[in-house]
Amino acid sequence: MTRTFLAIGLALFAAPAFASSLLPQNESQSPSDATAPDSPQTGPVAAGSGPLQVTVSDESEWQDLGIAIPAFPTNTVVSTAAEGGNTEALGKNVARVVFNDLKNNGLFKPVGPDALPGIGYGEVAAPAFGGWRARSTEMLVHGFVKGGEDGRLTVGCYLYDVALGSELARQGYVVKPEEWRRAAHKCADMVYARLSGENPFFDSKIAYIAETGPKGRRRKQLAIMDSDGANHRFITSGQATALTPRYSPNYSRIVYLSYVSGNPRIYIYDIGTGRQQLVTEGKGPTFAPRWSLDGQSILYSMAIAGNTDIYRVSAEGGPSTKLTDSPGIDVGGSYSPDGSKIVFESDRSGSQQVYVMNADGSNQRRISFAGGRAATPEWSPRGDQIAFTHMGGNFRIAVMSPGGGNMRFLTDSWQDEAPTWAPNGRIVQFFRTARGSGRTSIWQVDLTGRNERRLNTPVDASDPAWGPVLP
Amino acid sequence: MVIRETAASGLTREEALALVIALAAHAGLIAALTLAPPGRTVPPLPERMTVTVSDVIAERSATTEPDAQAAPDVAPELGEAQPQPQPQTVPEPEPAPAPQVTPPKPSPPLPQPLPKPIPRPQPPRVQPQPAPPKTTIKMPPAKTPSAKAAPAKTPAAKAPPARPTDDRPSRAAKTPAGGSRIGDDFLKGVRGATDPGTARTPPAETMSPQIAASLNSEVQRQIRSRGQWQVPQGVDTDKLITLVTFRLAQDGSLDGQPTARTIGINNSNQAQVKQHKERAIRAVRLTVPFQLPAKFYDGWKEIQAKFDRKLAL
Repeated sequence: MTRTFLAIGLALFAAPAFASSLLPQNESQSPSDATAPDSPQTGPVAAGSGPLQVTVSDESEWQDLGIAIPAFPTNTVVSTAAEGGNTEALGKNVARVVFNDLKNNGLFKPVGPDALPGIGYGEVAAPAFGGWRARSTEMLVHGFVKGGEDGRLTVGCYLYDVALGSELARQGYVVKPEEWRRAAHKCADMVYARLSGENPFFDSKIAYIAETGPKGRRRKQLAIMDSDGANHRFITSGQATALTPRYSPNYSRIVYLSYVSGNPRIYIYDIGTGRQQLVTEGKGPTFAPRWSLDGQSILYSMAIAGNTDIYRVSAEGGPSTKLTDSPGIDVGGSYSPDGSKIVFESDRSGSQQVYVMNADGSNQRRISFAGGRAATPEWSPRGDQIAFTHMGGNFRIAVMSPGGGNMRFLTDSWQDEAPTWAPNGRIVQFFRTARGSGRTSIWQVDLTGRNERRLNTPVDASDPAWGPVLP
Repeated sequence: MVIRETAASGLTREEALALVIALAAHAGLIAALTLAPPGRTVPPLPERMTVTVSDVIAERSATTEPDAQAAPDVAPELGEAQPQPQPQTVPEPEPAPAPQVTPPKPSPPLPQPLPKPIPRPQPPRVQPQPAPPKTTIKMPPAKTPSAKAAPAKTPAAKAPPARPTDDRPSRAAKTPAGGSRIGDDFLKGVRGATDPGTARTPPAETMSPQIAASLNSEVQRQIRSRGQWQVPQGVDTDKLITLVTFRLAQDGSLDGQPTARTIGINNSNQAQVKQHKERAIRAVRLTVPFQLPAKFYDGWKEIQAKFDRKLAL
């Protein structure tokens, strides 16, 4: 009864509303249709409505940027002492080096000169974007190689955004023929820096310990190479075991630990002259040397009667300054980039943990509280992170902020240790020991932990140390 | 068998009494329920609202001023300014019947034209009227002299006839329709006839929320399909959010340079801020020209796009 009444009531009330809703709709449409095309923008601006708000998200997985790197053409083919014999062949080699640098980085998905058609010399500065778009490449690297009168080479490098058809960066280098790889690394650096926002690092060198021989009697030699593994060179003969090398900031010297005298002692090897010199004749074993940022002094650890402390000594020798004075084992100091602080490892709390102190040894405090043990800390060249080996079951590379927070694991393997930073502070190098065989190899991983790759070395390798970018 | 015997034997006294009581109780219950539902008051019905079911949601113009080109019909002395159209898309819920639109003001049709030139400033009584939300309507009276001086028939062609329907029932029900002595049957059906002035610039389509939503998703779709947007890789780069503000010309191309600002910067992703900005602007540049309906140009001439990877995670 009531329901019926309600229904009728609804119908009564709805009818006029329905009619009225129909009519204005029809009517308001007609004038607008007629007038809108004439002057749509002269109407009143809706005050306060503001711009249309749109949110764009990127739901894809992290994607590597596609980069095409065709061979670098030359204007006239002249013979050169660099690899390839003439500038045309060299152009292809340069492009290959750029390709390999970018390929191994993990951020990019480059296509090299061997899979691409060549380009004419005129295209370098005016690329045929249409053709590259058809290949669905996103970025394009062009360059050229020119032979000069004095035998020097001029290498140009251009980076283009294919989709926009615009130039993003360009650089030119004049190099001696034997340094042609450096020109290629510089070009790769330019591309990397421009596209990733990070500082470059390809034009740098790595020192490491080359390991050969059976598991029980390993021969450990000091070796150096370019960041891509080229120009490999053994520094020591392997008669005496060498460990923990570090490049001096200007690449002229390497400090490392050697058993050449039978006891572990710290030596500085001068790359130019090939001479090596004992840093300090301590009363006990000395180890874990690190350079200060200016290359003037060296931090090292010395064990005396079971108590290990960190000392500082001038690179030219002289008296040492004791920085820590705890009954435990304090090792492996590493300076912050501003030189004001030192991060080190200590077992004073019972297990190995990471500590920070001022450069003069004051204000020592523990920063690692994440569980497990933490060892071999190294301060990032950018100062925002500390990399260390986290030991809890297996050995993993991890980073944390200088305050000790935000710990993140970068690797997850059986035994990864001894992290060292790339010069740009975005990539960490470490060595990985294979389970069972005990074979070691150098790996690197970027700070996201997503891009991990192995470095090619002629023999097994451990204890990597990355030097700064060459000037 | 047993039942019949019981029935045949008649009711016992208790049974008869129970029957009577039951009947009386039923009757009483029915009476009580019918006359006064105990402890139950009928809740007032909610305000009725009109829901328009339309299959063309975004295409419909939902301008807030469907009537902007017709100034109100105002008499100098008697008049009250015609109220503004309610700035809303949906008609008011008032169920007032439409016929009330016509105010009961039968008057001689033609005494008015002369006083018209000073319609607005003169009647102070106009002022107490609730201030119109927009100033746009105030303008037409300025033009009144010219429009009115010409015989009232000239603007006739201006608009379709359904003048009364423009006055939404709600409006008409709430407020008097003005003080003109001209009956609204004067030149009935000719829209401009009773309009003292006309705006020469009709309003652009104003955005309704539906249109905004549709434009929004369309802009989003176009940026995503053509913009090739990717966040630069790095630590915490997914925490970066870049807001790109840009203006579009009517053909959907960029008008001027987009501006961008990035938030969510911390120590680790500092280095990627420039790249993040650059990629966001690049996405906009790769998307233009936007293909958007020209009649809603007002709604998309300026766009702020927020590039935020984290949303996707």
